[in-house]
Amino acid sequence: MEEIDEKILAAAKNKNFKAFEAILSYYEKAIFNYIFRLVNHKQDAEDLAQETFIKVYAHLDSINPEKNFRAWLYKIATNVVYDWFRKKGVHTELFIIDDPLAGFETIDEESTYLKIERTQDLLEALGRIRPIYRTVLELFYHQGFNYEEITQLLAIPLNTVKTHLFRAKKALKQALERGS
Amino acid sequence: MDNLSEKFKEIPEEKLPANFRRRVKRKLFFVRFKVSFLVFSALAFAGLLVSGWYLWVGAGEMGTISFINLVFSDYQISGFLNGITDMATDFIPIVPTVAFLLDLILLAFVAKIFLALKKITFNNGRLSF
Repeated sequence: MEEIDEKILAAAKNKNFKAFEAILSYYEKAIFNYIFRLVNHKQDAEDLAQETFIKVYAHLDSINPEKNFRAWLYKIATNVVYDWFRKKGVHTELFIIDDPLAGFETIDEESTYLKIERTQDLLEALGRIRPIYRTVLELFYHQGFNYEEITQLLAIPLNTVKTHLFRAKKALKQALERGS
Repeated sequence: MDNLSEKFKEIPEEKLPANFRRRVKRKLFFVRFKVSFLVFSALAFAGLLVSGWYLWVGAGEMGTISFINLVFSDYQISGFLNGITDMATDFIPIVPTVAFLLDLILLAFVAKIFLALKKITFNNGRLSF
Protein backbone atom coordinates (compact mmCIF):
# COMPACT_ATOMS: atom_id res chain seq x y z
CA MET A 1 0.00 0.00 0.00
CA GLU A 2 1.34 3.40 -0.95
CA GLU A 3 1.80 6.14 1.61
CA ILE A 4 -0.80 8.87 1.79
CA ASP A 5 0.03 12.32 0.40
CA GLU A 6 2.26 14.40 2.69
CA LYS A 7 0.07 17.47 2.16
CA ILE A 8 -2.89 15.60 3.65
CA LEU A 9 -0.75 14.62 6.63
CA ALA A 10 0.42 18.20 7.11
CA ALA A 11 -3.19 19.41 7.05
CA ALA A 12 -4.26 16.65 9.43
CA LYS A 13 -1.51 17.68 11.83
CA ASN A 14 -3.28 21.04 12.10
CA LYS A 15 -6.49 19.21 13.06
CA ASN A 16 -8.07 19.73 9.66
CA PHE A 17 -11.11 17.48 9.76
CA LYS A 18 -11.27 17.04 5.97
CA ALA A 19 -7.68 15.80 6.01
CA PHE A 20 -8.56 13.38 8.80
CA GLU A 21 -11.50 12.13 6.73
CA ALA A 22 -9.11 11.53 3.85
CA ILE A 23 -6.86 9.46 6.13
CA LEU A 24 -9.88 7.57 7.41
CA SER A 25 -11.15 6.68 3.94
CA TYR A 26 -7.65 5.74 2.77
CA TYR A 27 -6.78 3.37 5.61
CA GLU A 28 -10.11 2.21 7.10
CA LYS A 29 -10.30 -1.07 5.21
CA ALA A 30 -6.66 -1.97 5.76
CA ILE A 31 -6.79 -1.20 9.48
CA PHE A 32 -10.08 -3.04 9.93
CA ASN A 33 -8.67 -6.11 8.18
CA TYR A 34 -5.42 -5.96 10.14
CA ILE A 35 -7.32 -5.85 13.42
CA PHE A 36 -9.76 -8.50 12.26
CA ARG A 37 -6.91 -10.92 11.58
CA LEU A 38 -5.50 -10.26 15.06
CA VAL A 39 -8.73 -10.64 17.01
CA ASN A 40 -10.60 -13.00 14.67
CA HIS A 41 -13.99 -11.49 15.46
CA LYS A 42 -15.80 -9.07 13.19
CA GLN A 43 -17.72 -7.00 15.76
CA ASP A 44 -14.67 -6.64 18.03
CA ALA A 45 -12.57 -5.72 15.03
CA GLU A 46 -15.03 -3.00 14.09
CA ASP A 47 -15.08 -1.53 17.61
CA LEU A 48 -11.29 -1.62 17.85
CA ALA A 49 -10.84 -0.08 14.39
CA GLN A 50 -13.17 2.74 15.39
CA GLU A 51 -11.23 3.26 18.60
CA THR A 52 -8.01 3.31 16.58
CA PHE A 53 -9.23 6.16 14.39
CA ILE A 54 -10.51 8.10 17.39
CA LYS A 55 -7.05 7.80 18.94
CA VAL A 56 -5.50 8.84 15.64
CA TYR A 57 -7.67 11.96 15.66
CA ALA A 58 -6.75 12.71 19.27
CA HIS A 59 -3.05 12.48 18.43
CA LEU A 60 -3.05 14.15 15.02
CA ASP A 61 -0.71 16.85 16.30
CA SER A 62 2.01 14.27 16.83
CA ILE A 63 2.07 13.30 13.14
CA ASN A 64 5.41 13.85 11.47
CA PRO A 65 4.72 14.03 7.70
CA GLU A 66 8.36 13.20 7.00
CA LYS A 67 8.26 9.99 9.01
CA ASN A 68 6.54 6.71 8.25
CA PHE A 69 2.89 7.55 8.85
CA ARG A 70 1.68 4.03 8.02
CA ALA A 71 3.92 2.52 10.72
CA TRP A 72 2.62 5.12 13.20
CA LEU A 73 -0.97 4.24 12.31
CA TYR A 74 -0.36 0.51 12.70
CA LYS A 75 1.37 1.15 16.00
CA ILE A 76 -1.76 2.83 17.32
CA ALA A 77 -3.94 -0.02 16.00
CA THR A 78 -1.64 -2.61 17.58
CA ASN A 79 -1.67 -0.78 20.93
CA VAL A 80 -5.46 -0.60 20.86
CA VAL A 81 -5.68 -4.33 20.19
CA TYR A 82 -3.13 -5.19 22.88
CA ASP A 83 -4.90 -3.02 25.46
CA TRP A 84 -8.05 -4.94 24.60
CA PHE A 85 -6.23 -8.28 24.88
CA ARG A 86 -4.91 -7.28 28.31
CA LYS A 87 -8.40 -6.33 29.48
CA LYS A 88 -9.61 -9.73 28.32
CA GLY A 89 -6.73 -11.42 30.13
CA VAL A 90 -5.13 -12.77 26.96
CA HIS A 91 -1.44 -13.67 27.26
CA THR A 92 0.24 -10.91 25.24
CA GLU A 93 3.71 -10.16 26.53
CA LEU A 94 5.84 -8.55 23.85
CA PHE A 95 9.18 -9.16 25.49
CA ILE A 96 10.69 -12.58 25.80
CA ILE A 97 13.66 -13.66 27.87
CA ASP A 98 16.55 -13.79 25.45
CA ASP A 99 17.55 -17.34 24.89
CA PRO A 100 21.04 -17.68 23.37
CA LEU A 101 19.96 -20.93 21.76
CA ALA A 102 16.85 -19.46 20.21
CA GLY A 103 16.99 -19.11 16.46
CA PHE A 104 16.57 -15.96 14.46
CA GLU A 105 14.38 -15.30 11.49
CA THR A 106 15.81 -16.43 8.18
CA ILE A 107 13.60 -16.13 5.15
CA ASP A 108 14.43 -19.39 3.41
CA GLU A 109 15.09 -21.69 6.29
CA GLU A 110 14.41 -25.25 5.14
CA SER A 111 13.41 -26.61 8.52
CA THR A 112 10.47 -24.24 8.86
CA TYR A 113 9.17 -24.43 5.32
CA LEU A 114 5.41 -24.41 5.38
CA LYS A 115 3.23 -26.37 3.06
CA ILE A 116 -0.04 -24.50 2.92
CA GLU A 117 -2.72 -26.04 0.77
CA ARG A 118 -5.51 -23.54 1.38
CA THR A 119 -5.64 -20.01 2.73
CA GLN A 120 -8.37 -21.20 5.07
CA ASP A 121 -5.84 -23.55 6.70
CA LEU A 122 -3.52 -20.61 7.20
CA LEU A 123 -6.30 -18.52 8.76
CA GLU A 124 -7.28 -21.29 11.14
CA ALA A 125 -3.67 -21.95 12.10
CA LEU A 126 -3.11 -18.25 12.74
CA GLY A 127 -6.08 -18.29 15.08
CA ARG A 128 -4.41 -21.01 17.14
CA ILE A 129 -1.04 -19.35 17.75
CA ARG A 130 -0.17 -16.72 20.35
CA PRO A 131 -1.31 -13.15 19.58
CA ILE A 132 2.24 -11.80 19.47
CA TYR A 133 3.23 -14.43 16.91
CA ARG A 134 0.14 -13.64 14.88
CA THR A 135 1.04 -9.95 15.06
CA VAL A 136 4.64 -10.27 13.86
CA LEU A 137 3.69 -12.63 11.04
CA GLU A 138 0.92 -10.31 9.96
CA LEU A 139 3.15 -7.23 10.09
CA PHE A 140 6.11 -8.86 8.36
CA TYR A 141 4.52 -11.11 5.75
CA HIS A 142 1.21 -9.43 5.07
CA GLN A 143 1.73 -5.74 5.72
CA GLY A 144 5.28 -5.80 4.44
CA PHE A 145 6.93 -3.95 7.32
CA ASN A 146 10.65 -4.59 7.73
CA TYR A 147 12.45 -5.51 10.96
CA GLU A 148 13.27 -1.91 11.90
CA GLU A 149 9.70 -0.78 11.36
CA ILE A 150 8.35 -3.65 13.46
CA THR A 151 10.90 -2.79 16.14
CA GLN A 152 9.49 0.74 16.33
CA LEU A 153 5.93 -0.38 15.91
CA LEU A 154 5.99 -2.86 18.77
CA ALA A 155 8.61 -0.98 20.81
CA ILE A 156 10.74 -4.08 21.23
CA PRO A 157 14.42 -4.72 20.41
CA LEU A 158 15.46 -5.93 16.97
CA ASN A 159 16.63 -9.31 18.24
CA THR A 160 13.29 -9.85 19.93
CA VAL A 161 11.50 -9.16 16.66
CA LYS A 162 13.68 -11.72 14.89
CA THR A 163 13.21 -14.28 17.64
CA HIS A 164 9.45 -13.71 17.62
CA LEU A 165 9.36 -14.22 13.86
CA PHE A 166 11.38 -17.41 14.09
CA ARG A 167 9.19 -18.82 16.83
CA ALA A 168 6.02 -17.59 15.15
CA LYS A 169 6.83 -19.57 12.01
CA LYS A 170 7.57 -22.66 14.07
CA ALA A 171 4.32 -22.25 15.97
CA LEU A 172 2.46 -21.73 12.70
CA LYS A 173 4.01 -24.84 11.24
CA GLN A 174 2.94 -26.87 14.27
CA ALA A 175 -0.57 -25.39 14.11
CA LEU A 176 -0.81 -26.26 10.42
CA GLU A 177 0.38 -29.81 11.06
CA ARG A 178 -2.10 -30.26 13.90
CA GLY A 179 -4.84 -28.88 11.68
CA SER A 180 -4.12 -31.28 8.89
CA MET B 1 8.81 -20.23 3.99
CA ASP B 2 9.17 -17.77 1.14
CA ASN B 3 5.64 -18.76 0.13
CA LEU B 4 4.22 -17.28 3.31
CA SER B 5 4.04 -13.73 1.97
CA GLU B 6 2.10 -14.93 -1.03
CA LYS B 7 -0.21 -17.04 1.10
CA PHE B 8 -0.92 -14.10 3.37
CA LYS B 9 -1.77 -11.98 0.37
CA GLU B 10 -4.20 -14.65 -0.81
CA ILE B 11 -6.26 -14.31 2.36
CA PRO B 12 -9.50 -12.65 1.24
CA GLU B 13 -10.15 -9.18 2.60
CA GLU B 14 -13.08 -8.80 4.96
CA LYS B 15 -15.73 -6.38 3.82
CA LEU B 16 -15.78 -3.17 5.84
CA PRO B 17 -18.91 -3.03 8.03
CA ALA B 18 -21.67 -0.80 6.73
CA ASN B 19 -21.59 2.80 7.98
CA PHE B 20 -18.15 2.30 9.52
CA ARG B 21 -17.01 5.80 8.55
CA ARG B 22 -20.23 7.39 9.74
CA ARG B 23 -19.89 5.68 13.11
CA VAL B 24 -16.32 6.88 13.53
CA LYS B 25 -17.39 10.43 12.69
CA ARG B 26 -20.32 10.27 15.09
CA LYS B 27 -18.04 9.12 17.92
CA LEU B 28 -15.57 11.84 17.01
CA PHE B 29 -18.33 14.40 17.23
CA PHE B 30 -18.79 13.46 20.88
CA VAL B 31 -15.06 13.54 21.50
CA ARG B 32 -14.60 16.93 19.83
CA PHE B 33 -17.45 18.55 21.74
CA LYS B 34 -16.86 16.77 25.02
CA VAL B 35 -15.98 19.92 26.99
CA SER B 36 -18.92 21.90 25.61
CA PHE B 37 -21.15 18.94 26.34
CA LEU B 38 -19.98 18.72 29.96
CA VAL B 39 -20.47 22.49 30.50
CA PHE B 40 -23.92 22.29 28.93
CA SER B 41 -24.84 19.32 31.14
CA ALA B 42 -23.65 21.14 34.26
CA LEU B 43 -25.76 24.19 33.36
CA ALA B 44 -28.83 22.01 32.68
CA PHE B 45 -28.34 20.30 36.04
CA ALA B 46 -27.98 23.65 37.82
CA GLY B 47 -31.16 24.84 36.08
CA LEU B 48 -32.98 21.74 37.29
CA LEU B 49 -31.85 22.34 40.87
CA VAL B 50 -32.86 26.02 40.83
CA SER B 51 -36.29 25.46 39.26
CA GLY B 52 -36.89 22.43 41.50
CA TRP B 53 -35.98 24.39 44.61
CA TYR B 54 -38.19 27.31 43.49
CA LEU B 55 -41.13 24.95 42.97
CA TRP B 56 -40.56 23.25 46.30
CA VAL B 57 -40.49 26.54 48.22
CA GLY B 58 -43.48 27.86 46.26
CA ALA B 59 -45.49 24.70 46.85
CA GLY B 60 -44.70 24.79 50.58
CA GLU B 61 -45.76 28.41 50.91
CA MET B 62 -49.05 27.82 49.11
CA GLY B 63 -49.97 24.78 51.16
CA THR B 64 -49.92 22.40 48.19
CA ILE B 65 -48.10 19.77 50.17
CA SER B 66 -50.73 19.74 52.91
CA PHE B 67 -53.40 19.68 50.21
CA ILE B 68 -51.86 16.58 48.61
CA ASN B 69 -51.53 14.95 52.03
CA LEU B 70 -55.20 15.63 52.61
CA VAL B 71 -56.16 14.08 49.27
CA PHE B 72 -54.12 10.96 49.93
CA SER B 73 -55.37 10.50 53.49
CA ASP B 74 -59.01 10.65 52.32
CA TYR B 75 -58.47 8.98 48.96
CA GLN B 76 -61.09 9.28 46.22
CA ILE B 77 -59.96 9.25 42.62
CA SER B 78 -62.53 11.70 41.23
CA GLY B 79 -62.00 14.11 44.10
CA PHE B 80 -58.26 13.81 43.68
CA LEU B 81 -58.38 14.62 39.95
CA ASN B 82 -60.79 17.52 40.43
CA GLY B 83 -58.65 18.86 43.21
CA ILE B 84 -55.50 18.62 41.12
CA THR B 85 -57.13 20.37 38.16
CA ASP B 86 -58.47 23.18 40.28
CA MET B 87 -55.39 23.64 42.37
CA ALA B 88 -52.94 23.35 39.52
CA THR B 89 -54.18 26.46 37.78
CA ASP B 90 -54.31 28.41 41.07
CA PHE B 91 -51.19 27.34 42.89
CA ILE B 92 -48.54 25.95 40.55
CA PRO B 93 -46.29 28.65 39.07
CA ILE B 94 -46.19 27.93 35.33
CA VAL B 95 -42.75 29.27 34.36
CA PRO B 96 -40.62 27.36 36.91
CA THR B 97 -42.69 24.23 36.29
CA VAL B 98 -42.09 24.36 32.55
CA ALA B 99 -38.41 25.12 33.19
CA PHE B 100 -38.22 22.18 35.59
CA LEU B 101 -39.85 19.78 33.12
CA LEU B 102 -37.70 20.99 30.25
CA ASP B 103 -34.56 20.57 32.35
CA LEU B 104 -35.69 17.11 33.30
CA ILE B 105 -36.18 16.09 29.64
CA LEU B 106 -32.88 17.73 28.71
CA LEU B 107 -31.00 15.87 31.45
CA ALA B 108 -32.56 12.55 30.43
CA PHE B 109 -31.28 13.22 26.92
CA VAL B 110 -27.88 14.27 28.27
CA ALA B 111 -27.70 11.07 30.34
CA LYS B 112 -28.38 9.03 27.21
CA ILE B 113 -25.58 10.81 25.33
CA PHE B 114 -23.29 10.56 28.33
CA LEU B 115 -23.59 6.77 28.33
CA ALA B 116 -22.43 6.72 24.71
CA LEU B 117 -19.68 9.23 25.50
CA LYS B 118 -18.52 7.20 28.48
CA LYS B 119 -18.18 4.13 26.32
CA ILE B 120 -16.08 6.06 23.85
CA THR B 121 -13.85 8.23 25.99
CA PHE B 122 -13.42 6.54 29.34
CA ASN B 123 -10.87 3.82 29.75
CA ASN B 124 -10.63 1.97 33.07
CA GLY B 125 -12.52 4.78 34.76
CA ARG B 126 -10.16 7.47 33.47
CA LEU B 127 -10.58 9.82 30.55
CA SER B 128 -8.57 8.36 27.71
CA PHE B 129 -7.57 11.65 26.17
